[in-house]
Amino acid sequence: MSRLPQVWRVRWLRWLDKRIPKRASITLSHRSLFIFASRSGGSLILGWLVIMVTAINYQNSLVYALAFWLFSMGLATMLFTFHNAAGVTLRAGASVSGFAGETFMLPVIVSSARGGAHHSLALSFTPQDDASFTLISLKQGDARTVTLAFVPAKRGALNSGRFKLTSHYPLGVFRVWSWVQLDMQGWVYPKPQWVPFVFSHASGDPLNEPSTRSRIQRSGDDVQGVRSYQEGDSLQRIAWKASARGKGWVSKEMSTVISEQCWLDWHCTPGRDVEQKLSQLCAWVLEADARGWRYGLRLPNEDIAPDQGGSHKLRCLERLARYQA
Amino acid sequence: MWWLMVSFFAAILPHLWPISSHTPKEFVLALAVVLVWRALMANGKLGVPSRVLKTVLVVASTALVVMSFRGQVSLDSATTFLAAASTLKLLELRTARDARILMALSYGLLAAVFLFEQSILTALYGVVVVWHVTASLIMLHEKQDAPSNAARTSAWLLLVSVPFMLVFYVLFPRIAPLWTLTLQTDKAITGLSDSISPGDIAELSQSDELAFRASFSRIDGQSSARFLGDNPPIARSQMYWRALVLDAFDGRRWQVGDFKPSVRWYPFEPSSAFNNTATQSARWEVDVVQQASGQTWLFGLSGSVPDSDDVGRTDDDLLRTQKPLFQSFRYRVRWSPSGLPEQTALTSLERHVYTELPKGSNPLTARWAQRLWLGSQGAEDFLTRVMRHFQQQPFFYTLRPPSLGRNSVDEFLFQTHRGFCSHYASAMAVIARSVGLPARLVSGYQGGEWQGDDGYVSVRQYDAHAWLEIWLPKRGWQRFDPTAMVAPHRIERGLEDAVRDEGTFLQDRFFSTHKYKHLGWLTSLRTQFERANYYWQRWVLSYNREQQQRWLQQWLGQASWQSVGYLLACVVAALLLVGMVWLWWQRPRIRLPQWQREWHALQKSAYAMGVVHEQGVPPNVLLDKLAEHNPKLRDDTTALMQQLNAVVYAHPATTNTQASRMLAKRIRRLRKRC
Repeated sequence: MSRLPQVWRVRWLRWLDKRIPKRASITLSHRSLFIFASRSGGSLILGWLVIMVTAINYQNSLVYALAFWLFSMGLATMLFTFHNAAGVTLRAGASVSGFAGETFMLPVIVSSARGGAHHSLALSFTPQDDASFTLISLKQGDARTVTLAFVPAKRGALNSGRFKLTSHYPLGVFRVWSWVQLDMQGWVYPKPQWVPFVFSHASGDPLNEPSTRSRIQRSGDDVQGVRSYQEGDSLQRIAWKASARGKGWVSKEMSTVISEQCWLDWHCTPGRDVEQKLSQLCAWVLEADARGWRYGLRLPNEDIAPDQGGSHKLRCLERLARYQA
Repeated sequence: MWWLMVSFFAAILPHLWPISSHTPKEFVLALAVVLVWRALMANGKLGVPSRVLKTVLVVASTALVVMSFRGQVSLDSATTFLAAASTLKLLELRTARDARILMALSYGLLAAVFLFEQSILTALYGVVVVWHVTASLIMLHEKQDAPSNAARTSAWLLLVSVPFMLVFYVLFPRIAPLWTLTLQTDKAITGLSDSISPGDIAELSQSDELAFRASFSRIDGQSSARFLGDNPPIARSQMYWRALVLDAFDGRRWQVGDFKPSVRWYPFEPSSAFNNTATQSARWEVDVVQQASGQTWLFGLSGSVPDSDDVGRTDDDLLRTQKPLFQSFRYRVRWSPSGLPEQTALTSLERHVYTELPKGSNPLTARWAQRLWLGSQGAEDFLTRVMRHFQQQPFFYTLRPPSLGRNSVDEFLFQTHRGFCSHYASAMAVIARSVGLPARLVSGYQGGEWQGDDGYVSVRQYDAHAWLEIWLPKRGWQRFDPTAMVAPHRIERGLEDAVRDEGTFLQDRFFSTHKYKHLGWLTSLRTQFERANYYWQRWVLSYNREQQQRWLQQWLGQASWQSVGYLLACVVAALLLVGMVWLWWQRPRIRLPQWQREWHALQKSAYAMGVVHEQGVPPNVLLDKLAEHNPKLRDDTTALMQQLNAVVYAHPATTNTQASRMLAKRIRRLRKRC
């Protein structure tokens, strides 16, 4: 697909979008499946040719019969190969979020619409690389979840594009395949790019950054005690040793109940363009969360009020992911 | 992995046993070594051979093949080379691609088996091998499944391919060989040889191998019907199947001389005499299925005229093919009991060839013959006296004659008096030549076992026979069989009866079923098997270009190759269509409840109005949008939403068909209104 010239590729993708539109679930059928002779059948075809020539040259009836039988089998496998892939239902699994450039493990639920068995289905986002496919077989009435590795290049709503389902079953003479696009839920956050924090002076905020920063930094060191884990506690605050004793999850309680807060400001990032700024903000969010700060996010078109904890972090990251200038 | 190895072994096995004659013994040993090595590799006891070692092995095995065949390119050496190459591939079995190549080679090895052997049993074995190799290929593409599933899929695949195969087998044009093959097998085939010295045919008489089978059809105008009955259409004692004419005698051995009569091949030229007189007046069509003989000679009754492609007739009344037969061959000849108008005169060269005797050999015989000649009135009287001499003097028919020296005929006639067909024929030919009568030895088969139910005669090697022909002025070549004088049973009932007292019938063949004819069940089993084999050869193996043409003409009238091509394409397309219908039948059929289908229709018409319903959004959003779009619908949408909730969130056990029908109706009404 990628070897085609750009013009044709665009046309091809447009045609494909019409033919196999993006869906939450798709059942493969003649609309969405392609079938053609496979390269892996080359040795078999070559062997068949030799047998056929032998039959003709020796005028040997049994060799003729063998050659015709093998040829018929080849034709019949076309139906078998197609039938093996037809009726496979693919559904997008739970939503997955992560950072651009990271490998996403996207769950896809594979089942059979007719409740039959399906053999050796190879699923992969990278058709060029033969090694990186996931191979599954479905037994009768089976449904299985496979995770497909996918590396998103751009931040935003997760748009995985098409992945390829291929099968050579049963003899490898024919190959059936489909380019499937599932409506995967999830966010691709900007790729974090760490730069030292910069806090705004001219923003007219009541916050006095240097002091805040020093106080916060100090507070991070003091562990006052432990309490039971609450949802939203950052991983850094979990008291691993205490938790390991088997009394359930325990979090460290910090000495400061932060009253002071900081703003992570778009205008303070040193980045030159939007993506760079977003990446830097992303790194700040992560760092601020790791340090247990109470932080707010200030973007050109909206603010997120200062808060802390896991869900706040995710809200900030999501906002960064879908930021549009 | 083990399935692959078993597949490969099953394919190569017949080359080692039982049709191993073309495989050098060294190769069998080498194969065993490689197989053991491969097994140890699979167990992890031995490593994968290095690149250098592999190269050495390839070079060594090539050298081995070349050396054991002395550089000859023949079918045998080619097959051995294929076997050697595929065996070495076994050591290099790493990827799926290697495995596929090995399986392709296995199919090839199986095809090579068929070049040597085509019996029903071989074919059945071939079916098993194809099934197993295919199962291995399936397992390559489905590693997680149980082998039994792959085996079942393989059987299923083979089964559905059978209709395709039959269509191709019958209709695919049998084209002429793409290039001429000089590849031949060195496989020793039992059969006649082109020379006879005393004792030769006795060896042949110890073999119960089939030579050929023939059926007879009476021709009435255009139609012909296969002859069936308790007795053959021609008396057994008249069935002399001619193969060779031996005209050169060196005092001991008869052989085919340098005098080569010309051959006329079927189809004959329009002007040929065979076209009008002979073929028209012929009253029988003889249909022969001959076993591989490794020779070009065919077997025919005296006066047979070929009626099949690639069959010719020599001037001395023998049938020939263009190429030696290395597989069974079916041909037809026309034959009439009245024979052909024979040639009426011998040329001087022919007269010289057919009366020549080596100087000074068998002097006693010559003197005795000349004395008898002086006392006879003409040639016919002389020959009658000679025949009577064999009948009246104490001659014995035996398969264990005493060995004879240089003047073999003298010793036989005047000392030993013991011998079989070749002794008698040879002696009488020498007697005739001694008095200047042109004579020649003919070898072939005499008689055969008549299978009344199926209407064919099967002729075996032990039916091999030798007799002689003598030229009589005005009457041409006349057959004389002195053996009939000594052992009439041999001619009328067969060899077994003739040597019953002696007990030499197939005495070296302990396991021959022909020896145990008194065991009824064994004989009937053998008969059934042979019958199956006959029809196998007649209908399956000998289906060649000519048979195909005949068959197509019979069913389709005058069919050109082009129309056969169309027919083939149509039948294949029809079969593929059947397959596609099956696929269509197998497609997943999910029938949504009616209200859901109505809902989809509503979504569509809403979309047409510009109200887009996104996926994964609850239905009330669409209904709200619709109400916004057209406020008159507000009441409808609210009511619909309630009903929808009632149906969708109802407990599955209390699903009310009445309610969902009402819901469907309501959705349709909404759609109609907007």
